[in-house]
Amino acid sequence: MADKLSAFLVDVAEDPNRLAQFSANAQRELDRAGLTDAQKTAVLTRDSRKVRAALGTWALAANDDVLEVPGPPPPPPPTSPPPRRQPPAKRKPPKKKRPPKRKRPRRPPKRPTRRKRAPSRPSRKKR
Amino acid sequence: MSGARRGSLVVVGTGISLVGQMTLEALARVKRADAVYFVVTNPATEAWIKRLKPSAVSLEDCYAEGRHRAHTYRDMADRILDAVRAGKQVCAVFYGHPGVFVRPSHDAIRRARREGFRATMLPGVSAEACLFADLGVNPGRAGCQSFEATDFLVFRRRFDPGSALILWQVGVLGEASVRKGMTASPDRLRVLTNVLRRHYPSSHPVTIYEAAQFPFCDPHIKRVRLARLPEQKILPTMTLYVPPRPSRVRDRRALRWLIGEIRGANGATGAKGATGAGAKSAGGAGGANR
Repeated sequence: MADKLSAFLVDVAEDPNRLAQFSANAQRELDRAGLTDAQKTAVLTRDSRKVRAALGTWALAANDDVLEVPGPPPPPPPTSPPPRRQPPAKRKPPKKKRPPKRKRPRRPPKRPTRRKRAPSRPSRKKR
Repeated sequence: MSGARRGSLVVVGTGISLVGQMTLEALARVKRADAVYFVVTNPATEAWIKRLKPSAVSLEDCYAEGRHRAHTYRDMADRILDAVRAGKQVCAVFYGHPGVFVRPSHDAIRRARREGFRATMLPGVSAEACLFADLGVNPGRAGCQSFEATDFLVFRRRFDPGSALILWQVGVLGEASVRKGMTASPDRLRVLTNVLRRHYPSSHPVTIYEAAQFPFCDPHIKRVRLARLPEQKILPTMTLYVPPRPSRVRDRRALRWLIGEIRGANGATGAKGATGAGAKSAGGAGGANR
């Protein structure tokens, strides 16, 4: 039945005379198109969402570029038996302590830099 | 292009509203093509394309529940390119503007060109074009910035509140796909509102907009205050328009310099005995800036 509604919508959209007739007497045009009551009600609301719902719509993609994690897909699971467990690693020797940092001699304070002057306005010629 | 093979690709858009917004050029390309592939959002548009070209093939079957979108788009581009490689004049039709929020169209063109085929995209009527017309927005007045809503939040996009701001797909804020009957989550809208409130007063008017898809339908236009945004029912196809803040501070130094330049130019052209038209136009611009 959505085919009839689709055909009706395309007819009205393609032909300005048909659109004018629809605008003048919508009910008559809908009866002529042989639509169901639900479809007629949807069209009479003149609301795109309701007409779309009467047509039946499908899912759209959204935010693909934003929410996808970039990079290749994860590798397939291994088919070979899992490797044997390794013996526990030896304990690491304790870390050596770092020698204390040498203090740098303090630099003399920087001299304040002079602000650059703004470019002067081009001189105006006297007339 | 001497190296191009016989097959070619042209990508066109249907516009937003059924039939009326497809350009004459796009229409001619669909009728003339050897093979037509299409991805549209409603069966009426599909019926119309089939009426134009009965052999047209829908790429809708590339979508599948749970399938990775990247694979779907790659398949769409593959099928389009297979026909191009077979030496056909191929026309790919997408909803709205074929280059706006459409990935497979760009992919197909890039790949076709890489393989030495002639591939072009024709502009179509986008939802943005409809928004300018329906809301009476002139982007030349204060500028216009446009972001995908999730992208806007995730990447903390910088923008100028003195210019218009358009946020697309607010209804699917933070969602990877669209489900039937879904609307924007109030919690996510609250986060978006909080971000916007750093730049706009809570009483700032915003517009929830959706273009009309059928010739006898009206666009959906709802104006609310920014603070009330989280309470709104926003569908996936809806867009948020935030008008510019009225107060804009002019850079006086830049303005003085520009006026000086214009006056200087006027004086110079006057001295050289320029035509009246040139002097008039420069003087007019200077007058507007004063």
